[in-house]
Amino acid sequence: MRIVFELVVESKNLAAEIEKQKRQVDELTKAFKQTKEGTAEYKVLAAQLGEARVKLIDLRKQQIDLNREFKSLAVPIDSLQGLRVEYAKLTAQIQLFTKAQRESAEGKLLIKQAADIKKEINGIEESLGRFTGSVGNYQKGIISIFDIVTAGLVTGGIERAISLIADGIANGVKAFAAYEKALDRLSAITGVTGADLDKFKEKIEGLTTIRIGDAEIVNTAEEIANAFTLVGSAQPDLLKSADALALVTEKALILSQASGDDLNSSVAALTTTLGQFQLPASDAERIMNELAAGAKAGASEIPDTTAALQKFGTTAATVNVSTTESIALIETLAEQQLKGADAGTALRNVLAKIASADVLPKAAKEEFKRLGVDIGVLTDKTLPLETRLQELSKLAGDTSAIVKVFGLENLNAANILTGSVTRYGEFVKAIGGTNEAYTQAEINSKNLTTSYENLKTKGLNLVVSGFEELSPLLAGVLNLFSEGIGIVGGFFAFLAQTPKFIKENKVELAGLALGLALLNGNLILASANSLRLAAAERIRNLVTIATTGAQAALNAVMTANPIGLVITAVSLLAIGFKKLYDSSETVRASISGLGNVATEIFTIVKEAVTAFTKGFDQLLEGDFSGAIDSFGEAIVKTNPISIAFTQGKRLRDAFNKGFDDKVAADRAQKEKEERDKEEVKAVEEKAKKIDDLEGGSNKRRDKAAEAAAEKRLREIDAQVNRINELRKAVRDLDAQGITNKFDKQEIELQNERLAALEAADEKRVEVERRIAEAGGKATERDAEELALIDEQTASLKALYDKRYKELAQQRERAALAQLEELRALSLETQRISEENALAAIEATQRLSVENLKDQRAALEKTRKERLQALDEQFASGELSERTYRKLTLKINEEYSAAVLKLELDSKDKRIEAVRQLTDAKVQGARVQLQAELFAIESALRADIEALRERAALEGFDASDRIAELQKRAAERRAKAEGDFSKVEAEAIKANKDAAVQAEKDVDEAKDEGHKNTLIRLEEEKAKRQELKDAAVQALNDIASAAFDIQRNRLDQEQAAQVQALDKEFDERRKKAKGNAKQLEKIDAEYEKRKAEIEKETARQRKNIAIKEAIIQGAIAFVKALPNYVLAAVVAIATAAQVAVISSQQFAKGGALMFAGRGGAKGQKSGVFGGRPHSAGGTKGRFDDGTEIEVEENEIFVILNKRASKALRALSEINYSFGGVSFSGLPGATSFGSGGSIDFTPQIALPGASQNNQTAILVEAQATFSDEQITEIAGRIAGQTSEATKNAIGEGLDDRDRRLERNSSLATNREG
Amino acid sequence: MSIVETLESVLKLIQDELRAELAAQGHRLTGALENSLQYKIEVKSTVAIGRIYSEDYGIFVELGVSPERIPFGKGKGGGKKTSYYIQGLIAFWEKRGLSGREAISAAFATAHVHAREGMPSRASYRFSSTGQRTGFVKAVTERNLDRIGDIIAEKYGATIELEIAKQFDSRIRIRA
Repeated sequence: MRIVFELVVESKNLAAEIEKQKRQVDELTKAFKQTKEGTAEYKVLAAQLGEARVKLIDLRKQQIDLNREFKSLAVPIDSLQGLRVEYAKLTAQIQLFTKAQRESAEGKLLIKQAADIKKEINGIEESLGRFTGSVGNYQKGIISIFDIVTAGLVTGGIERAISLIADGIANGVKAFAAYEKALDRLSAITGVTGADLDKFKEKIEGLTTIRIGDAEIVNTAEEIANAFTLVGSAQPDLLKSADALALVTEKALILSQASGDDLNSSVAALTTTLGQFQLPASDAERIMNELAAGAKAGASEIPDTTAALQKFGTTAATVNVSTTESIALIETLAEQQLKGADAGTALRNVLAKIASADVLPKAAKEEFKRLGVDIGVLTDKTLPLETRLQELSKLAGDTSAIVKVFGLENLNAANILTGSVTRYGEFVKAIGGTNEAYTQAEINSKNLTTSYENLKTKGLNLVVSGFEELSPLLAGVLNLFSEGIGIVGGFFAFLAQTPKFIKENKVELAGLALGLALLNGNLILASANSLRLAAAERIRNLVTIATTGAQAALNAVMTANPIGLVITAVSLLAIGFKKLYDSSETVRASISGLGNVATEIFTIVKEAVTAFTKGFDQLLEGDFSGAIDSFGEAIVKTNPISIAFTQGKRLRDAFNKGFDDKVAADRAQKEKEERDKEEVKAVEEKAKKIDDLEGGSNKRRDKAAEAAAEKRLREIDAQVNRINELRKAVRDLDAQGITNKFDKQEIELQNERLAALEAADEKRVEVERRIAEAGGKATERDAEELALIDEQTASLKALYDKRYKELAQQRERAALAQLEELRALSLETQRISEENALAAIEATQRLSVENLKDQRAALEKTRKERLQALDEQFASGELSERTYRKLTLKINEEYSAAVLKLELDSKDKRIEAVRQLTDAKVQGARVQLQAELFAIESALRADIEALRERAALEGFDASDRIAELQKRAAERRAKAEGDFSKVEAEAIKANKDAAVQAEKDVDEAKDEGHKNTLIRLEEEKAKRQELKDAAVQALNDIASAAFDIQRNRLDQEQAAQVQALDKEFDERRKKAKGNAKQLEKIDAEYEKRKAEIEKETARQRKNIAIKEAIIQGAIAFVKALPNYVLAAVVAIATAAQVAVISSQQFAKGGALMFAGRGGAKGQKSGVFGGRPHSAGGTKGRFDDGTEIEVEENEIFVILNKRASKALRALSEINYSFGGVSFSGLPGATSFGSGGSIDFTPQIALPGASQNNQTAILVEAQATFSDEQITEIAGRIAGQTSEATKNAIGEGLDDRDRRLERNSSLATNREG
Repeated sequence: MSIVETLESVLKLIQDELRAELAAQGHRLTGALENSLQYKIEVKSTVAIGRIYSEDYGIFVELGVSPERIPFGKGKGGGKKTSYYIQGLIAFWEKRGLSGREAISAAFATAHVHAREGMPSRASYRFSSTGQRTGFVKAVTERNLDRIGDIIAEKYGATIELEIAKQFDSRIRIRA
């Protein structure tokens, strides 16, 4: 087995190590103090203590390094902090470099990067101070401050506020405990207790806030106590004096704030320097400023400077090099990236060599001498170091001299120092005599983050002070909290039985529970216990439905407690009374009220915090009275018991408000829900109606189409998968596979051949060896064997040649078969692809057709609706026929145009679809071509390669065979390309055919549209005729009715007039009393008056007859239209009839001019009597032999010759223009159906007697011009329409009838 | 979580990743190499060392073999009668379904290709889905450096120092 992966994990566990080391230092320190000075044990302990401290410092340094690494992960890389971390990492890396590495391109790049970053850091610090360092996090800092001010309401709401306050209290308790622990530790180290310890405490608490100008450095008491311990541990001498310890600690704190390093680093820096140079505590301030100034001026940060000083501080002090000069030396080296302990070691060596220049080896002295270096200057400790370095700088650039003087290991440091004396001088000036630590600390303390931290720390110190004062009460308070939490926990456990309910109300519950715990200690505990019992009782009673006792207990609790209402609400929650919650508005509102109570509680607490802050501000301003008031207010509001009593009303009001708001909100919500429900219902109904109206059939159709589409999609997916499988098969089936197979066989064959030949060779060698052993003389057997071996060898070669050939043939056959298979697969792929493409295009076409159908249906629907509206308008008389026809035509034209456009669009789409199809086919063929070409090339390559290998092995020339292979491959390529061209040509043809077919389809669609148009026109024509017939019939009915009414009225009036006349004259005859003359006169007058009445009646009858004739004519005319000839005949006949009627003179009212049934002889019209035709009819025979058969109630009219001639002519005209003859006129003797003439004008011959005939001549032409017909028709129509209107009006108007009646009465009176 | 448990989490992760990478590079036939990947943890004072072991030939799979180092076709007529290399190839082909003489022939054919192209051969890259046929350890290590760091940082905290992959010339140090 081999190791392939190794991971080494080393647990540094630095924290534990440091702790352990600290304990050891503590123990040693304690022992050291108890040991008498000057004894051997004292010395041993001192040494152990020093060693332990060094180890501790080393561990801390490692911790710092690790922390730096982790910080780099947590800070934004472009923040100041991030830059510092990056810089520290780079310098740490550079320190490990050898000189060669430093001078390499990579080394230089890293050094440059470090220098750039340092420059950037300096720039930021100088221009903005270290405030920039928190740029990445200042927003968070601001929000946190708001959290304090608003009790967390900004970021977390009530829950967050609860958490903050609880945390605040917990932190206060913890801080107090930690401070006490730190004091204990300090006491243990210093050994001081009682009053002396109080002095330390006073110093500690005095240092919690350090003022620098306008700024403050605020630390917790615990931190200061720990800092005391740290400083004391680092420099035990300081533990003897609280003042000295406080002084050094203060400077360490300032240095920490100035540098941004942790306190440990700053303490180490100060104590190391003080210790190494054996300086008193009073020098701490100077050292602090020098360290800060050095870090600012140069590249060595304070931890690095500390590490360096640890190595050479003592030496520096010995050779009278001050702390300022030492730090300047460190910064000089650091600028060349020689830092930390390495720099310290190098400086120690260099300084030692300089100080002991007079005792250096001879070679070194000679170099001094050679370069004119004054050893006396170098060794003169009274001179400033710069002077000594100036003298030393004579060695600058002379590596040989430097190596001889300082040794190879110190070459770097010495080189830097001898070459950078000027720079060193600059550092000395920059470092000495400044207040840099204060300046930087002040800048760093003025940013938001520090202000925020100070605020927090101050608050914590305040709480610590408070707890210190209240320490006797603290335990009790904590116990109270514990119990309260226990009770609350009990509640929660109980509430957990209704998890959903709890979940819904968790904010209120949490707020309430914590609020109660904070508010009202024992009272709540007592209430809660009562409540718990009452609640349990209530539950039991719920089962038995006997609630009285439990409710009473609950009520008692409620009334006994100042916040009983709240407790009641809690109890309702606690017993899981969800049903009640759901049904009771009061309960719901109570829950809401609880939320308000919780909010109010935290508002009170916030106000308390504000009051505290205000109090401190007032104190600072000297307003002691105001401060006392503020503190008083704050104390009242922060005192849990006080809140319950002093703020009870406020809480109750808050609860009531929440209660009322909830009630109102619930009602509003309910109303809104009702409204929403109704709206939703209305919308749903509407949607359903629309759906029912429109969607039914569409839905079914869409569903079917969708199912079909899905099915097709599934099919296509299956096809696509199949294609992919085939393509993969094509890929897998490459020539390489076959080649490999035959390669293997060929190699096997080679091996066999070689083995066989080797065996033969071995035999040959054996024979030859035998011959050689026999002195080179071959026996006959040997010769035979050799011959046999030769023969065998030849046979073997021939055999294997043959097998090679066979193998080659097999290879070729396999390649061909593979090609075929490849071709088959490719064709299958293509076929499926084409099928899919075709299906897709068919689907597209189908969709297009479906779409077309839908659109056509929509157009047809619109057309029908428009036509229907038009029909209605036409029928109601709003539209003339002409307008009606025009609009109808327009609608149809628009419809046809839209349909045609649809067809054309469809045509384009179909052509496009076919184009896509053919493109797909061509593309498929192209892919196929590429596949084939690829296969051919692969096979060719494989064949040629195999052939060449064989040729090389067997030693024959393969050129011809290769050429043959290439020729065959070319033929295959040509064929494949030909196939592709064929497909391409077919595609072009298919495109063309499709376009032609599409045009053809459109033409057919056009024809179809035209045919439909014709059918529609015919239908419209028939419809119009129908409308017209209906109108004519209606007109006829109305007119007939009107004329009947007129005639009846006329008859009645005449009868009444005659009756009145008879009565009048009967009276007159009576008065005449037989006077014959008078009677004759009266009779004459009677006859005259009666004749007048009859004449008037006849006149009116004539008018009616004329009107009727005209109307009937008009109706017939309208009916005859658009047959203009027939219309003309009708018009003429009507005119003739009117003329006849107008010329008619009535002898008297009956106007019968021939003898008929009951009539007088001589009348030319009348009514036949006798029998009906079914009973044999009424038969007659004229003198000329004419026989007739009529039936009872048939009318007869005798026309004179001229009228008969005219009528005959009319019949002929009618017949010659497509009408029917007025059959029956000539020679007709029988009218089974009462006559066959279309219309039978009421014609009476003029004249009262046969001898007094008036000839009426109607001149008629056989034909009329169109203009004549139009003119005639127009005139007749004009006259008849007016006459018709008047006749109908007169016939139906009651007013006219009254007029007539009045007129008759007046006439009678006159008579 | 203890240092050993933390280390075990990392090693399990790497073991899984190595197996997956072997499969992805097409080195799975019998699964022997994958199955041979086993880890062991050794604890010395504050140092815990986790090692993942594989079959010997894992190193060849990791690094590949150049044509000149293929033990075939050099110095014809000399050397051992029985070549482990050829035997191994024969076994390989037998496991792929060839029998007797077929496997032998295929082994020689393969040896010819190896001798010409080295191992892995060009054609064998078609078995890899990653485009790589070597460097499975390197790929996994590089790909998972951050995850290893994260696991250790998350499960053990800040006081761990890692040294990974001693078999490589450069030791990668990670601080977690």
